[in-house]
Amino acid sequence: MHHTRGDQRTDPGGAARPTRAGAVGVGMTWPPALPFEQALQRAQAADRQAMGLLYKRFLPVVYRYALARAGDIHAAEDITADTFFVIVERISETRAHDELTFVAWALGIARNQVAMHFRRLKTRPTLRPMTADEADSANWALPGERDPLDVITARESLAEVVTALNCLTEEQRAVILYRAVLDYSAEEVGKLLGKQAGAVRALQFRALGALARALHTAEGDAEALQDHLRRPRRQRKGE
Amino acid sequence: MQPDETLDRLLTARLQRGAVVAIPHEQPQADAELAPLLEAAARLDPLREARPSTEFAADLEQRLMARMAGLEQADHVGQTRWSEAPVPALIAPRSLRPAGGTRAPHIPARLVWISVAAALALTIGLGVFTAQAAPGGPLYSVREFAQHVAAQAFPSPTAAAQSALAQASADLAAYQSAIARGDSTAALAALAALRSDDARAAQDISALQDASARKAMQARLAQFRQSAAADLRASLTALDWQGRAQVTDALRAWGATKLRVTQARLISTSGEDSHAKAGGGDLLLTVSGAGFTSGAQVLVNGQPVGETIAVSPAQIKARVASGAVAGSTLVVGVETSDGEVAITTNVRQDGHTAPVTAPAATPGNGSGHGGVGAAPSPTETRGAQQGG
Repeated sequence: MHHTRGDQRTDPGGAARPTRAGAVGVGMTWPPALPFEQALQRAQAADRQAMGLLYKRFLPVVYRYALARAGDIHAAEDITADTFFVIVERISETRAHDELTFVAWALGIARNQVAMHFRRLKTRPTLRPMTADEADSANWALPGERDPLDVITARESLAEVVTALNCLTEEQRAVILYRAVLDYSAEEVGKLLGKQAGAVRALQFRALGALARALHTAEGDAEALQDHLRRPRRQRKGE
Repeated sequence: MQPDETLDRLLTARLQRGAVVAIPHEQPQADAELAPLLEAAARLDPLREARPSTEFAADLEQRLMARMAGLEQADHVGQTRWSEAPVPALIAPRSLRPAGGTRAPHIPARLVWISVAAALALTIGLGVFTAQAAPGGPLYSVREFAQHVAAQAFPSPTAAAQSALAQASADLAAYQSAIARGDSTAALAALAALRSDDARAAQDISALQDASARKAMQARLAQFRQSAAADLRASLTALDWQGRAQVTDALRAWGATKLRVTQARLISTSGEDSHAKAGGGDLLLTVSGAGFTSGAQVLVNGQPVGETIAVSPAQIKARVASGAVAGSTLVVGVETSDGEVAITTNVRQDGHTAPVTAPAATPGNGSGHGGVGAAPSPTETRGAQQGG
């Protein structure tokens, strides 16, 4: 990994980083005593402990990517599991030599698994409304959102965001996911996508603009629908 | 600073601190432009802070470790299978052979494969060794066998048609070589092989599914036949009448000539019993067929006989001395001025069928009509029986 920010950010997935609500990840901290390159070599030699370290380190990365693409917790878990099974089976074939190239390889596998998931659905990604139990068990729901109204609000917000993400181009979506969801810097995203950092910033600017427009359109549609429903039926018939 | 750089800086600060950073006041115009983008980025926070459940993470880790163990075991088994497993000996040691000999001997698979490979190599070697074997030679049958095996081994219709056509070309070359040597027997054997391979090529070409390939191969076959017909015509003078009849038969099969003799009739001109006139009276020989031209003459047992008195494209009449048709076997034919000969054994004499004894069959002559040495065709046989 190119530590552009030193050792302050050993977990680009943010699992070990305190969240704004103070939540801490599931103990997925990269051990500083073992360099990533050694862990990768040992994992390629079928060392289960090293593979376990890689798994804990990159589980949130793959999971967030899958959740952002599928928009469904169960689908995200399936995609994550399939991705890691492929990683385990093919880790001896990877040409990754550092953390960033390994992430690029792993996310490439995840992208293929997402494509297979959509192919199985035989349609564009559609969001299935979560049940109350699912929403309650979803750990992405912050502690302050345990209130049912907060849960519903968060669920709708996630659905809108994922729908808006799916309206973007592949490049725009990749930049936003890598940059704003997986917390990679512009330089690291440039290396992941094979672009210059300046091009990534420009693309990020356009991508966030497109995302804002897509979200605004979705909200506008929802508000228009709410206004329509609030009017008396007689007035609606006259329209 | 460009807006995209400002956005990136603000986004980085926001992601690190977990809060929205105020837009610098020195860029008031950026406020309206960047604020919606930062708000859109803030909408991604649920995704950014999402994490899998502890149960899922633990369960998946357990399954992955089990999968790794399975892969490790499979690798170990694979190494044992390929590197450590004892290689079965080609011939079992004497101590391991079954005593008593009642059980069927076990044939190792490796021995079977070696045998198959040896047989294949032997067949290919025979094909190469006998490629130049001339028809009638001692290796010619071996060559045909190798060709048959090769045709079975390479079942592509186009390849089979090309192979048959190439063999026909080789047969034509062998025919010309035999003609040049004056070996008419070898020449006629090569002619028979030529006709067989030509028929096989035509059959393979007609079976081609690809229309363009079929047309191309038909054009090649027609071109070959045209060239071969010219060569065969040029060789007529080097053959006797029987050989010329076989060559004419081949030319007729290719449509290169229309000459054909279907039947002949001997009529006593005196009206007396033919047996009484056999001592030297004149007979009228009427030969029916097709492709007769002026200058054509009638042959009886290969010899020109009598005087031709009328010629039409389908009939020739000639006056024949009774002594010329004496004998137990009658083969009547017509020879054109080009040297082409068509013959028939379907001869009737004054309402009685002349005794016909077919000469010994010549291998490879598949023509029913007129071919010397050919057994009478069913039509000819039926005509002879009806005449009697």
